[in-house]
Amino acid sequence: MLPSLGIGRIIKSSIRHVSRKRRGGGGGGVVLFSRSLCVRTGGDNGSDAESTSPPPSTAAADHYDVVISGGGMVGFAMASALGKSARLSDRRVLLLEGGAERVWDLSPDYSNRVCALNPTTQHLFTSLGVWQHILDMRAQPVKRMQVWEACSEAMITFEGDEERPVAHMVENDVTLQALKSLIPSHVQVEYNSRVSGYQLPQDTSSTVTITLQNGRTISTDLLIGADGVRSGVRAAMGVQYLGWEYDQMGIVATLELSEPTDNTVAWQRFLPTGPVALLPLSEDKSSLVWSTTKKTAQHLLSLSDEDFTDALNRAIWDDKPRDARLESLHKGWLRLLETVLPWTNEGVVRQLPPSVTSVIPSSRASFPLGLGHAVHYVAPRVALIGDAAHRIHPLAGQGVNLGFGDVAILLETLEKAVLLGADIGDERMLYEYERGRQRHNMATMTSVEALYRLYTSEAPPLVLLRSLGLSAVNLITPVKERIMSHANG
Amino acid sequence: MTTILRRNLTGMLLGGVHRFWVPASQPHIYNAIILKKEAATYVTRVTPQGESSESTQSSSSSSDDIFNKHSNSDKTERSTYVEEEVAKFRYMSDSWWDINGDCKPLHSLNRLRVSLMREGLVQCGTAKMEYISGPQPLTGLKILDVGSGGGILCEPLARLGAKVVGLDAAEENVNVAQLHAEQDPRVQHNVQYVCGTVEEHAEVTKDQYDAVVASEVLEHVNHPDLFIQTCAQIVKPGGSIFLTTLNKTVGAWVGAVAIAEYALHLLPPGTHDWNKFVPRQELLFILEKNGFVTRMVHGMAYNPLNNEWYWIPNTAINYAVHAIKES
Ligand SMILES: Cc1cc2nc3c(=O)[nH]c(=O)nc-3n(C[C@H](O)[C@H](O)[C@H](O)COP(=O)(O)OP(=O)(O)OC[C@H]3O[C@@H](n4cnc5c(N)ncnc54)[C@H](O)[C@@H]3O)c2cc1C
Ligand SMILES: C[S@@+](CC[C@H](N)C(=O)[O-])C[C@H]1O[C@@H](n2cnc3c(N)ncnc32)[C@H](O)[C@@H]1O
Repeated sequence: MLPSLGIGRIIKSSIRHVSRKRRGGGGGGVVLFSRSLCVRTGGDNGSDAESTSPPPSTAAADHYDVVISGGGMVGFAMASALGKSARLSDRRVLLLEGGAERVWDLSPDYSNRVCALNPTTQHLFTSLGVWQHILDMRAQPVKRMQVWEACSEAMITFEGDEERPVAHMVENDVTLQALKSLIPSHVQVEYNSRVSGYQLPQDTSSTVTITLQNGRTISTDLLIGADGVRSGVRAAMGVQYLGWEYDQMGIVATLELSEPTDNTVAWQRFLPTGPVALLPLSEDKSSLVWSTTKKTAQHLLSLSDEDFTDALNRAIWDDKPRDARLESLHKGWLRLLETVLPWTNEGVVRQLPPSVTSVIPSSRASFPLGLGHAVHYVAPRVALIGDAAHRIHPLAGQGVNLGFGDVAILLETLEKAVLLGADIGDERMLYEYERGRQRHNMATMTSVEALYRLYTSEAPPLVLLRSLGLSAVNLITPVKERIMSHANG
Repeated sequence: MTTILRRNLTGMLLGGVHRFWVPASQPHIYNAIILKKEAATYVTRVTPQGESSESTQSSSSSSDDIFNKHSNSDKTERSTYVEEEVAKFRYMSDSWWDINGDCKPLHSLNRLRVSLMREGLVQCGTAKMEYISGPQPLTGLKILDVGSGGGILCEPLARLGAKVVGLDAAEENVNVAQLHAEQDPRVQHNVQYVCGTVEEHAEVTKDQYDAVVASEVLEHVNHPDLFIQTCAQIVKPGGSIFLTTLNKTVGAWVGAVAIAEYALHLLPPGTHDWNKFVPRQELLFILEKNGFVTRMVHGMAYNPLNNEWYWIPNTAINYAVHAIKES
């Protein structure tokens, strides 16, 4: 028996390194070093896998109870949640972020990276004590959302109210700042700490070993992968990842409106090339998320600020050639949005969107859009959260909200594990998180994907619906009914 | 390795009148007999420093009673010990911690029994107020797990902050449990495994426990009344006893023995001698006789298809009891 935790761990890890040495084996892919330790390496893109060399057997691995890989919004929310939990207050938590620490101050200029935080996220942030801090910095409530369609009269609105807004528009930097500044001191955050490889155990009898690019090794009882779309943790888990890139880019920008108004409505218009959304930031500023084909995006990015503003106003205001056959399809299609955005849509009054006077110079940027979903979120001593687990089209503004939902449920699962006296890396516990989250995330993703597919398909309605298959058609009953009567009559 | 003693199904059905054993391999049955002798005179080999030591003399080298060695137990006339029952578990060393192996149902039972114990100790005021909302709600409590086997139940209790003594009649189990505990510092520092029966332990232990638990053990012992009586001696007044067991009814036989052992091969055949199942009424009576007030009796059902346990009102097959020793 060993007197202290530290030495126990050191001996364990050096034994492991010895066995590594003995069995040799470099190369990428999957290498088995011992019965209980299946070593896989994976960095960003999985491309770093080859370069991972075994840690020197003399280097003692630091041990943490939980290591979060990736300090984006979701990683920091997880760190905050773990740090605030009374049940997990005795755990040593480390967050590793590959990027440098940014000194940030709230400036009068708005950032072009903004997310609509939904009420579920607001609830989580309130319980973490960060919501008030966000409001104190800068957040714009969205009391109404109007979604309409370019080629028909179809329109749908989502109504919130003063007490329960539909969402809040918050700059990503503000969210990050609020989370970072309120991280409890016993949670350690390390910047410039890019991970180059993960060794994951086959079961809980051994721990996870993390190798940083600077050669340092760290061991942990639970690795949480919050390292974004090209997750190295996911690559190391070797889980199947279903996904594809859309032939679309998302253009973001900060917009100046023609006159100050209440500006608490989020506007989204669907064009044949994709949706364009104006999201309120302040009385006279809005944030743009314009999803469009890669070709159009390239063109739009090359325009001068003035020409871009004109193109945008046309996209919002222009009448497209109307197709009566499309009308009913579009109405049904818009109803599908309700499965993603669960607010009442009693409002029938069509409001007019604001007109844009200019785009804030150099606020334009573009992002590739895609869909992706990890078949498993967990393995022994590992869990994926946020974009590392799922990626979604921004048309419903749900991406980071799904990630924050992961944080809430993973926290709940870990607290439950503590109360059952289980090892927090026990995959039987983690599996509960996976089961709960996949059910929710898949439902949202399926609806968003159906929305996207239905909309961007160029096939005429009947062909389109047939090709979508029966299950998708069942999702959109109103459309199905119209099509049936259309087909019969 | 796990099916050393293969019971003849006919013998089983005859309800013990014509019980006979078919040894799967001869040497083991002899081992079992030799080990029985050892167990009777055996002295715990685990000291606070974790060094192995063997002695047949009781000594008071340790300040903490729970680490004290057991004295020779020959003077105990009646014993809860049944070698053929304990032998069933001796050779399970490989499988105690295989979560998909023979002990799978015991692992998944933790959800129910750990919750029951934690909530029971919190609600009856035994758990200390200052810890109950924290990371280790059972901090400061001393718990004895009688028949602890590989330590499947001791480990979570230790993680919850309790000082746990795992007592088992089979030295093999004590060894497996000890080795496994060393894998996790949170467990290692809070658990101590001791070889012996509860009578032996009662003789040497000076202190008393906040709670005693015997989970899936009662159906393997002789003289359940002696077992409970001895537990009563070492539970503090106001302390708790937790028991989970299989009920002695036809339902229990069909449900637990036939299905689990034979049809589904979940447990090595012969694990449960259905003659030893203690009926709920009998158990409650024994508890009352020994100064316990029953706080809760609940049925448990196991679904082998998803390996999950559920609380059910029906106590016909498996049940759990929480009783409190009168102050
Ligand atoms: C145009 C656009 C608009 C969007 N609008 C919305 C919206 O309105 N509402 C909404 O909910 N969502 C929206 N999203 C989605 C949202 O931005 C993402 O879901 C969210 O940013 C994901 O956060 P994350 O923390 O999971 O990942 P990321 O933000 O990608 O963070 C991952 C972090 O991990 C770090 N990292 C990666 N690899 C390593 C490594 N090997 N070692 C150490 N660190 C590493 C990275 O440096 C990074 O900081 C939008 C997305 C786009 C593209
Ligand atoms: C079914 S196992 C239960 C193990 C543990 N309680 C659990 O649930 O994980 C029964 C255990 O009781 C032990 N045992 C049987 N009779 C005993 C006795 N008289 N005294 C102490 N232990 C005994 C056996 O050695 C075996 O490990």
